[in-house]
Amino acid sequence: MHHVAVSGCHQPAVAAQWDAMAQQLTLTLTNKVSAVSDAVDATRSFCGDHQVTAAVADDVALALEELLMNVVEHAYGDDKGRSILLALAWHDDTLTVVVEDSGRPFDPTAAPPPDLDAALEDRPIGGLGIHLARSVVDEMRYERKDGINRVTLSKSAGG
Amino acid sequence: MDIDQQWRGNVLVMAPKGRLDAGSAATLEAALLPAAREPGAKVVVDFAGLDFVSSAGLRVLLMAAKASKSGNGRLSLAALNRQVTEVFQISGFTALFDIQPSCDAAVAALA
Repeated sequence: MHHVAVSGCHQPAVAAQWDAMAQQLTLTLTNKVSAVSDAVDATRSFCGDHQVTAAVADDVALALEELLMNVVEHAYGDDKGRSILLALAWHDDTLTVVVEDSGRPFDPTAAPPPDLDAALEDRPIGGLGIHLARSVVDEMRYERKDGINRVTLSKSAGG
Repeated sequence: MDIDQQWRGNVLVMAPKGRLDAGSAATLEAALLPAAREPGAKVVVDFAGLDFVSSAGLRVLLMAAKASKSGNGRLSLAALNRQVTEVFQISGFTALFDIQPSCDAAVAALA
């Protein structure tokens, strides 16, 4: 299994490792917004390398941004410079995305759904990200093990 | 994020370009919220050049809609692409906004 390392101060925002044989990409990013943007860009490139349709790439980019932003904003509190591990794999026309953090336990698959029928005045600002992420992928799984949150997304490119 | 802004009569048209995501939402927020907050303001957000929206963008649009309503203004959105339409449907935003097929239609509806 992957382990999320506790990072030092001068680590780059995104460190990537590419394994062409296994068609997978592993990135370690720090918990800040600019690193999320870089990781989502890298994921779009990965989708492009595998001729994934724009619609599927958009869905994966959306789900990933929502998950990563949730980790950046909540998992580590105000503790900056912590790591998030991201692994992408392409197999059988299916894209699998794994996000790991060592922050506070949070199960996105168990988050209560937002009230989508509320009037404008009653709609809260925010709280839609996890709902969006769950809605646009085929599967989302969560496990908490050895102090690590691991969320696994899968999305078939078959449409 | 680049945002084109122009007046068409008494309607302010704002056209953000590219992706409206966690990295760019603050730029739209800084431009759109003061405009939407003006009492009686008529604002169209033209999405023709917008490729992608995430919840960070939805947050800004919802704040703008609330601000517009408080000031008795009008806010319309125009020319949503496939991805933006999908996200609006999943989020229940289709019912919260006046959505027009084109910028011209949105301006005509507000003028």
